[in-house]
Amino acid sequence: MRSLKARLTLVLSLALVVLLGLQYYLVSGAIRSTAEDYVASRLRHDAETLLAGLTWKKGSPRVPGGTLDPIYSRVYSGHYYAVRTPESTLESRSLWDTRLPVDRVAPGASRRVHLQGPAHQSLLVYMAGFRKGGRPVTLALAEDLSPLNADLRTFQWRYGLVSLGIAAALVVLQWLLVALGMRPLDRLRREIGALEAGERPGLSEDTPTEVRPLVAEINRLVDVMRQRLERSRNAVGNLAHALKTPLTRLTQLGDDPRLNAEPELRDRLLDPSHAIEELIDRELKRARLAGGSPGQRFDADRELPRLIRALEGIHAERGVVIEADIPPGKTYHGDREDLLELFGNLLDNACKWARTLARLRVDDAPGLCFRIEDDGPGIPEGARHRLTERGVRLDESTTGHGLGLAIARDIVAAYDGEMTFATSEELGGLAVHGTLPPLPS
Amino acid sequence: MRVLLVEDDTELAERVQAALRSAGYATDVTADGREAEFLGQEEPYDAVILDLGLPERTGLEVLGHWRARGNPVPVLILTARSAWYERVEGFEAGADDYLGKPFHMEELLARLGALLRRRHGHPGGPLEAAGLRLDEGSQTVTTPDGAIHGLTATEFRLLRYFMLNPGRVLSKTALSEHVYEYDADKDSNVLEVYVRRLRGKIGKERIETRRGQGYVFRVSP
Repeated sequence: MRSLKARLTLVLSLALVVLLGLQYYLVSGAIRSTAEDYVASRLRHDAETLLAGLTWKKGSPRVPGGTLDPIYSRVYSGHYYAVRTPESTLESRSLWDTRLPVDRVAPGASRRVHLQGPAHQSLLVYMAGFRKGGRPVTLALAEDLSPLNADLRTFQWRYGLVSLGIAAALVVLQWLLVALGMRPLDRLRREIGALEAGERPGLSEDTPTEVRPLVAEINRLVDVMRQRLERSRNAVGNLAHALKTPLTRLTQLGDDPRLNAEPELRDRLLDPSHAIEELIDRELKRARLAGGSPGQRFDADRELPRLIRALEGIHAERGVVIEADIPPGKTYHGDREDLLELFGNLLDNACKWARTLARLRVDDAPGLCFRIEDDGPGIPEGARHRLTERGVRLDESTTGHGLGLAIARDIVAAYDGEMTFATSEELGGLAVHGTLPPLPS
Repeated sequence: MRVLLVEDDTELAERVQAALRSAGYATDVTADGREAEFLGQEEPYDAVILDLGLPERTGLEVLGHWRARGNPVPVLILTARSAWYERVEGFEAGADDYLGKPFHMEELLARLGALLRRRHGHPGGPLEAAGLRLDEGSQTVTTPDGAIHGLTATEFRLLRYFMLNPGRVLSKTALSEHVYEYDADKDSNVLEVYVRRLRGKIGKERIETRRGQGYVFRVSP
């Protein structure tokens, strides 16, 4: 059982049932034994009265009339006695034709037993041994417990019902208490979901003492990740910047007209420069990828139109129109810089090859599903698979399409997404389909 | 055409300046963001090539300040910071074009030329006005009769400025500000000499003198 709430509720309910059951058992037992003790003490008094009134006639015991309550004379009245001597047995009239089995009890000893009596009566029998007139005698007095038992059962019923009611009420109450006690944890779970989805920057520290260290640690880790990402991005950015400045000089040197006469020398200068340039672009961009870490949010509806304005500026001379269809309010739990880089590269590629039109469509679906198409020449099917191969060297990728798509592929891979290439049915050029998965719920 | 180049790598700045000059742009260079902001605000440049990582004041700040003060000068950002989120920031700050380093000089010149033509409402392709066609690569002008005339650097700048602003009265001061660099000797008599030479190549009637006002490049004779 994984749910704390269910586990607590179950254990508490069991404890409650056991406790109430035990109480029921003890209370019933105590009442029964008190009642029996009372009956037994009355029987003992009757035995003493009987003993006092007992007389002997020719060696046989006799009980003169009036010694005991007349109830002992009424047939099956529920009150019985028997007097046993080694030679004979005298029994009360109430027994009529039944018998009270009486064992011999040594003088001075007494016993209490339960017996089945006449007319299905349940008897409590008090037996005691005496010596009267120099002879051993055993007296047995019995009383029917059936009326008492009936009262007891009524009491037990009522008591049981009340106990069940109390148990049910307590189970409901403790379930409510558990739910109330777990509320901060439920809130925490929702907050963690929101943190994953980038809807909040951290967890609220306003939590019970028991979970506060956990919350503080999560917040610290999220902070550390954020800072580390920022630091490494800055470092990588500075490195890229520092490398590109001398590289720009090299490229400019290669363009120097003095090298026009030496094409071989120019190539030997420019080829490695281009290789370094592409490596910087791809590897450093890969290094600065954030991937899907918590607390990130990409507001597609807001960011993509800004990106499209930038792209239209860059491709203004060619007059390419970018059509965009983005669901209002669409967001994704990804890093803004990563996703701008992804869409920037793909749309830039589309604009480069488009004759007049590039089209971006983002689906209103969980995760981030998009399609980017252009009306350019497209890529023949045979060459297309190379775009999706991992680890294809940049200079081997299809000329012109290579670097931007390779970077886009790295970004999609960092988000465990998929990207496929096809021919656009509507526009005729390249169609790129991308799918970045939603948060695992 | 007068261009401000803001670039803190001196060696690169020299190369770009040389290339811009030979492409017929009067080019001022500064390496300092604060000075760039001042120059861009005070001088009537036709375009600015702006690096972002500048000492004193970043390129984005400089650009933001110009735009906040309503300065519409076309700005091409030339920077090593070429991630797409950085490009988006550049355009948000008011850039008109963006070129990542390393770059090829031809691309820079092509983009600069395109930016200027767009700004003056000309579509793509070579600059054409009043039957004249200006070839920016060879710095020549083709007249309606098919004759090709070579142009000196100053003549080329002057003609391009005329052709980008046809039918408008251009004062001598405005012309010299757009044709000469910041510290050049802006003698209006020299300008008259260039206008006279230009008339000799494209036909006297195309550049009309408005006494006390300046010159007008006429679209229809």
